[in-house]
Parts: sequence; C-alpha cells; structure tokens
Amino acid sequence: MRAAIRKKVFGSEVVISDAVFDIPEGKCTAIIGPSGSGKTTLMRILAGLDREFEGSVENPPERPLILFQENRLVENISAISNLLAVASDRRSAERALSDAGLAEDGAKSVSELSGGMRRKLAIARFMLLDGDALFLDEPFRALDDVSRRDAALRLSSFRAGRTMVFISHDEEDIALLGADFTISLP
Amino acid sequence: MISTLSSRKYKAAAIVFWIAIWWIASIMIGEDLFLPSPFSVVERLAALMQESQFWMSAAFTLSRILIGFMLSLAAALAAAYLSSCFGWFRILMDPLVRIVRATPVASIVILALVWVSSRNLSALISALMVFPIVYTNVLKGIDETPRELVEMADAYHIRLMKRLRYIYIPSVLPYFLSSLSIALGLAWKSGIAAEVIGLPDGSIGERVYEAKIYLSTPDLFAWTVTIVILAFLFERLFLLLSTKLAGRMMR
Repeated sequence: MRAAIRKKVFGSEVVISDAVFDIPEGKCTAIIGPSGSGKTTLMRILAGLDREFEGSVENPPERPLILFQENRLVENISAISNLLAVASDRRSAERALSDAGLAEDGAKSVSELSGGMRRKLAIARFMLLDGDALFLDEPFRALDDVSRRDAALRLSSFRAGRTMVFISHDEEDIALLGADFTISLP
Repeated sequence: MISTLSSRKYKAAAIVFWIAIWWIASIMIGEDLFLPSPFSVVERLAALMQESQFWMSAAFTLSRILIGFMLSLAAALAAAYLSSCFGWFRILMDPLVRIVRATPVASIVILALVWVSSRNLSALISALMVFPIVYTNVLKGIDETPRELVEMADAYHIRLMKRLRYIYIPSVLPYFLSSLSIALGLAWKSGIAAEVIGLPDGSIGERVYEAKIYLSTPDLFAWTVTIVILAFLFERLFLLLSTKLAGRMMR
C-alpha cells in the first residue's frame, strides 16, 4: 500500500504535505510522532475513512479494519450489547467478552465501566470483526501494564500475518506489537 | 435529596392539598351548578360507573384515541427515519409539520368533519396532533446520534437492523420517551375536543357536551375526572411498555 499525499488540510491548517508513505503488505508498521503531527489523519487516509485530501492511495485494502483511538462504544447500553452489535451470534460475543477478562461485566452499562475496561471492550469488539488489513490508533490507551501485554498477545495472534498499522507514543508498545517498520512524522 | 418514598408522599400530599382547596371553594360558593364538591363528583362518578353506557363511552373514546395514536406513532417514526436518510424528504415534511403544529385544533376539527365521519374524528385529530411532536423529537434524536458512532457503524459494516437496535434506538430513546409523554396528553385533549365538536354517538365527548347542555356540572366534572384518569393510565402504560420494549431490544 502506498499513500502519496500532496496536501491534507483541516480548515486553514496543513496537516500533511508532499509526503509518500509505503506500508509493506503483511508487515507490522508503527506510526510515531508528536501530538498534532497527523498520525491519526494518515491512518484514516490509509484505512479509507478520509478521502478529502489531495493525493492518492495505491493498492488500498479491500476490507480495512480500524480500532479507533476513542472507544466509540454506545454508552447507555450494556457491554455485551456493544459486542452483539457486530457479533454473528451471542456465543461469540460472550466468548470475546470472556477473553477480554470482562466475563462478569457483560450486563453492566458502558457508562459503569472504567477507562481500562472500556478499552478492553473496544478491542474485544474489534477482534470480532474481519478485515484484510488492521489499523490500530493507540491500541493500549488507558490500559495498565498487565492488560497491555495481554492485549498485545491477543492482537498479535488475531493479526495472523495480515498487514497491521498502528499508532503509538510508547517504545514498549512498539516492541510489544513487534513492529517491522516505523513511520516517523515530524 | 428527596427519596422516592418521600417524593411519593409529597406528591400525594399535593393532590390532597388541591382537593382540599377545591372542597373549600365549593363550600364557599355553595352551589353545585357552579362548582360541585369533590364528594358529589365522586358520588356522581360512582353512579355513572354503574351504567353500561359509561363503559361503552369510555371504550369508544379510548379505542379511537388509541388507534389514532398508534397510527400516528408508526407514521412519525417512519417519516423521521426517512427524513434522516433523505434530505429532500426532510424538506418536503417541514412545511407540513409546521402547518399542523401551528393550526388550532378547532380549525382542524371543523375542516376534518368535512372529510371524515364524526365517529372516526377523534382518531384523525389525535393522530394529527401527535405526529409533529413525535416526528420532530425522534428526528432530533437521530440527528443527535454521535457522528463517531455512525462512522464506527459504517466502518464495521453494521447492518441496518443492528444499527437501529444498538446505535439509533439508544440515542433516540430519551427523545422518543419525552415526546411520548407530551403526545399522549395531547392525544387525549385533542381527541376529546374533537368529540365535543363532532358529537359522535356514544363517545365521552358527547356525554361531556350533554352534561354542559343540561347544566349538570357534577356530570361534567365526573367525566372530566374519568378522562384525566384514563389519560394518566394510558400514559403510564405506554411509557412502561415503551421502556420495557426498548430495554429488551437493546439487551
């Protein structure tokens, strides 16, 4: 996959200009850079969620799967309902909840969950879906060290050789997910 | 903070307070024709309840208002959904909703009498009064659905039924329930007003009108109390069912 971005603006601010990004197929690529450098914007362009830019994306994935930086959970319904929204059946949703260590929290409303639990739930929902390339925006946000390692193991297993692109600020996260390449934004 | 039990006690006390005021006012006036006492109204209501005609009138009006309300609810939900999907449909609906909302009930009733028989008038009027309230609120609820969730649903290819169930209903529900509470009260008020003007045989509206013609103020009050109780029960039942149904759907 290759993104050639001549210009991407938000209002009057140019976020990315005259840059080419190569994402090797089947490899794990980390995007790093300071806040406001355009990491999320680049990921959204690569995943096909943002098409309002000057430039092009060659060989984009047919079925991109993205883990958003914000959890994007439905607050006033239960944890299990958030998984049922994407799961093919109740059993797989319950299994995903259990794998995420939230077996006892399925009936709780999302608003009752802690920040870490919400992130685990968002990752569980992500892993119920299918795609040919995985895009993860700060996947371990709000997770403690133990949960972070557990999530990294499960995400690596879920990846199963597919192209993965993730954003992180943390050197340890980059090592945990075993990044093959790094794109550093200024 | 007032507990639920204390809150109920205060509410009951408030009702007792206003009934006491009514009673004192009726003693001061001293004439049932102008203001019957609460006791004579209850007495008259008890007597009316012995008559089969009372229950038939209540059933007649209740069924018409229920039909009008349900049809309007279905139409408003469908229209709100279509308006959220198609800009042209929203533009098309806008003047219609504004006109219906601004037109006085009496004008619509008199105009509607030209088109439909008086027997079904209350159903039509209730439906017309309910539609703009439910439509506007549900559409606002859909519009207020967080864009991030809609984008998530698009990115995850969540199908329409699941999208409705897990994304839109949780977002729309508070708006829907709030509109339901207003619309239920209005359905009764407008439905009864339509019956009082159209005078369909065997309706509560006809009985209210007769009470007025024969200067039977206790009857008028007894029927009014009946309407208030029916409207209250109708509202409670509907809100309970809606909340339960929505809760079950989102589970």
